[in-house]
Parts: sequence; structure tokens; C-alpha cells
Amino acid sequence: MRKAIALLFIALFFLAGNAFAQSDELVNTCALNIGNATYMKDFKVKLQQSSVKPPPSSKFSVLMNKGTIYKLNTCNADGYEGQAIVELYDGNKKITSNLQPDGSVKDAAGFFCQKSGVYKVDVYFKDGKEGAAVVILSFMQNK
Amino acid sequence: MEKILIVLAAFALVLFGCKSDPNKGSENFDDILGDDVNVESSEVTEEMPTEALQVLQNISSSPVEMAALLQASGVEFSERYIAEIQDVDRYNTDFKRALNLGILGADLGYLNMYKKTGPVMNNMQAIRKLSEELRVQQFFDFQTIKRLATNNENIDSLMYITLQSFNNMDTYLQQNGRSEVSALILCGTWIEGMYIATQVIKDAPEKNPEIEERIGDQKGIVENLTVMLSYYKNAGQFANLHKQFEDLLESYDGVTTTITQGEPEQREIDGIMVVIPNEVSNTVVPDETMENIINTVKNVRNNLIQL
Repeated sequence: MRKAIALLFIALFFLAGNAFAQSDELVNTCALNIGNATYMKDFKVKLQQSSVKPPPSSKFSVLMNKGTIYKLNTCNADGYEGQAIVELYDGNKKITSNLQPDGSVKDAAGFFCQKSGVYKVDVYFKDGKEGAAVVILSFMQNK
Repeated sequence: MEKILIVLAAFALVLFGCKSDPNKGSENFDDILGDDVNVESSEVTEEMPTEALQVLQNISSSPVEMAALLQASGVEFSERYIAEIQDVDRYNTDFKRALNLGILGADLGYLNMYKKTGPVMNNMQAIRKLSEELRVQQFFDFQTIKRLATNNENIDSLMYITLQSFNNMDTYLQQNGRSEVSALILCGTWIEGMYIATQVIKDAPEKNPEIEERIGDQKGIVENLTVMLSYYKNAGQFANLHKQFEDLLESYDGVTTTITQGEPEQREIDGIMVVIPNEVSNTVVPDETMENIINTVKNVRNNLIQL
């Protein structure tokens, strides 16, 4: 029994370390996709499969400034079916998303801020599938 | 074999067991205040809501945006605006170290934005010292940063690695019961970004409406920072810092923001479709108010670096 408990802890230890390393690697890879923008932040999201509608999501608050163009790039981790959907909200009003009206999913969504303030970033996985992803927030000055 | 496994399990237990409740931000106040003899009380009246701290964490990159705005507006770089790194040896408590790590972090963003890789190395030496003393040096890959700083071709990578290091450090501090350190770093970062921007306005031969509006738009952040500090105001030096931010908020009296409705549109920029919403804010900072803000920001910032 003691051996089993010990092995469980060892496994947890290595699995935790591996998960952190993988997500950091995904951030580094994803940051290569931001084009001419400057990296600001990254959000790591991992969600279980769910049949609940709307599907569960991770929410983040971000401050955005008037006159700045923001990009939200998504990168999905290998080994998961879920495709990350990122939505940007001003209060309850959806501003933009990488989910297109025809159901296709783009790798990025852009927003040219005209009103400084705190906005919400909502990330979930299409059709409630299990997924792990990274969202990179970057900016470009409009000059 | 069994003994080895038990030892490893104990090690894992210790490792995970050390991770305290992220909401318990008040436990490390003695560590924060260190050996400062002026500290009277380390009691916290109320813990800061996690959501409020998350909002505040997410404004931490704004000095880099401010630096980008300055550069895009044609403002020349000036080393006069950044903090003296030799002051770093005087910071003998975590309170002082955290505030000044934030200040140096903002300066680093400013230097990187203007591709001033020479001063970056000096700045990183000071950051290294403070981060070691704050026990967060593991988030900075100083060797890689040094390599990137000596190669002007890799400025984007340098910017990325330094910003990500600060972000990861913030997350770690908040998730490990050290949210006060994170809050202090944030205050330092923000005030330094504001100091650089307000000094630019003060020295500018003519008005720059875009930078002035950005300074005016910071009113909401000052409100948030002041509220954040109010959670800690019964703890020694936090009371004084809270008072300084209250003064700063007061200096914003007279700033007004109006919202007008425009036409929404979409445009392809840098390879992606960008939404341009229809609500447009317009922030006005009267001259007298701007003068008050410039003076108050300077006072607060200089108080922090002279701690």
C-alpha cells in the first residue's frame, strides 16, 4: 500500500512538471504567430468535455486602450479534440470572436479599441469537447 | 527500494504541501515588511477578492503599451526618465524591493521598446538582484536575456521573454499566497509607466493629445489600484502607499470621459480581420488637472525610489 501511495505521488510530481513544460512550450510556439504585434499576456486554458450548453469557459479580464489594435491568437494543444473559441466582451456585448458565422474557426481575432476600459476574454472549446489551449494577447500601435 | 519511494513521496508531499491557498494573501506580511523598524502593525483587515486581483494583474503590461504609444508618437528616448539602478542596494525590505522591481520592470519595457540594449543589461542586473532577494529569480532566464540583449536583431524575442517572465512571476506570486508582493510590483510598474509619460508631456514643446488622453484614461486604473491598496492599508507601509494613491486619485479631479456612437466596421490588418466597434470614448484632461497629475505622479514615484 505504501509503495502504491509513493508511486502515485511520484507520478503526480512528474505529470505536473510535464504539463507545465508543455503549456509553456505551446505559449512559445503560439507567440510566433502574432505577426508584427507585441506580446502582452498569455492565457492557458484546459477544460473537460461537457454536454452543458453553453459549454463551460475560462474568463479573463484585460485592460485595453483607445487607439490600440489587439490580437487574440489561439493555439490548441496536441492530443485534444477541442478547438478553442475566444470571444471578447465589452460588458455583456460580444465584440469579436474567432468563431465565424459559417461555423469555421480562425486562429485569431482582432479588435481595434476605440474606448479605453476593462474587457472580458472568454475561452471555451467548440461543442463542449475536451481541450487544452493557449491564447496570446498582443497589441499593435495604430500609427 | 521502499525507503527510496517513501523519501520521494515525502519530497513530493513537501513540494505540493508548500503551495498555500492563493487567496490567503495576508499570511506573509511579516516577510513583506521585513526588518523595517517603522512598521507598527502587520494586520490585514480584509483579503483582496481574487477577481479584483486578476483584473489588476491584467493591467500589468500597460507601461509597455504606453512606451509603444510614446515611440509611435515620435517622442525621443531619454535616459533621464528611468530610475537610477545604483539605488537598488538600499532596498532592504521586500516592500521596497517589490515596488522597485515593478519600477525597473517598466523601465525595462521602455528600454526594449526603444531598442536600447546597452542600458537593458544594467537594468537586468538590478532586476536580478531584487528578484533574488524576493526569491522569484527562477522566472528570469538571465543568460538568454543577456544573449538577446547583446544581439540587436532579437529585440522582439527580448521583449517577449522579459514580459513573459514578469507575467509568470505575477501568476506564481498570486497562486502562492504572496499577492501583496504582486500588488506592490504592479503599483511600481504602473507608476513608472505614468512617470515616463507625464515627464514626456511636461518636457514636450507642444501638446500631444493622444498621450494626454492616455494619461487621462488611467483614472480608472488609479481607482482600482487605490481600492486594491485599501485592503492592505492597516499594514505598516501600505497605509502610506495607500494615502499616496488617494492623493493621486484626487489629482485626477476634472478628468471627464464621454462616449459617442460611431459606425462599426471591419478591416483586415496584419493578416487578420479586425473589428472596429461603434462606441468611441473621448477623455479630456484640463491643463490644470494635467499639471496636478504630473506633479503628483512625480512625487509618488520619487517617494518610492527613495524609500
